[in-house]
Amino acid sequence: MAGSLVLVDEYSISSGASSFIIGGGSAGSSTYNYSMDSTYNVYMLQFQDVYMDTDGSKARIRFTKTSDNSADSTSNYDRASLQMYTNQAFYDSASTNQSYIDSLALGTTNPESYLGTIYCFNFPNASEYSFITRELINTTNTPETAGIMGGAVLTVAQATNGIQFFADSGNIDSGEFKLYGLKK
Amino acid sequence: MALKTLEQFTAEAQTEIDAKKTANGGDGMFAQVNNVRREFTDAEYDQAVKDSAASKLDSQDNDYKRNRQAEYPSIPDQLDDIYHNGVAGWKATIKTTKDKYPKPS
Repeated sequence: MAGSLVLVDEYSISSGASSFIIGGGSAGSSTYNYSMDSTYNVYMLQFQDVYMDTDGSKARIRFTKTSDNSADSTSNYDRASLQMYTNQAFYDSASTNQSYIDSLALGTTNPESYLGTIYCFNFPNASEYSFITRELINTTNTPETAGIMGGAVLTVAQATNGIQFFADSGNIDSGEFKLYGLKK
Repeated sequence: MALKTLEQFTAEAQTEIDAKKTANGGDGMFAQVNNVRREFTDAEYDQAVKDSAASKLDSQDNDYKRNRQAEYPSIPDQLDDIYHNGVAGWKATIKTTKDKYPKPS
């Protein structure tokens, strides 16, 4: 069906910073000031060309709270994924009660970057947890190529309205982000 | 070397993050908000300290597991190892990786 994806926010990093928010209302990095709300049941975030200014650092994510647009940094994120490497055995990776959703280490150029799609479920629902599923292709700083499939949940019943990307060290130097609503 | 506590890592991270603040002569940490690049607020710097300390603790406690996981042969290769070299041979293979990445204590 044509026109089922509606672009609601987009941002391209032009100068490095430690923290970016896609969606997130007035805290968002773009001028759209878009807040994920019940206009759409599901949101899809696509991003590419994400790399860092510090070799081996990571671009982690958190969800932003609708109540004040700030990132929820409580230790309530659980995640699980299958990491599929081209040059080593696949393995499962999981964690509970972390204050962020982790990613693999990145490099400082496009060939050591990551890209992918995150689907956001239940974000505007104040009485349910916020979930994501994600599919990534990642070339680490080593460099090793890995595909990641998995999901994560913020186990707090609250409305969330965006996704924060933040560097565990240094800055995120590059990235293009597009947030779509999936038309009901 | 003794394992460090979260409090010790927090103190380390506090020193590192304080040095990054432009007020202290550092390069600063920045957020991009509404298409404007601005320096972290005090609350965001405080969060960066917590994040850095948590990362350091996680790295200390779990890097050896991740390194081992990445280096162990695949399950089919391990089964092949057992078939050809017996359990003793397989244990020797696994021990190589365990010794390379010892559990911190």
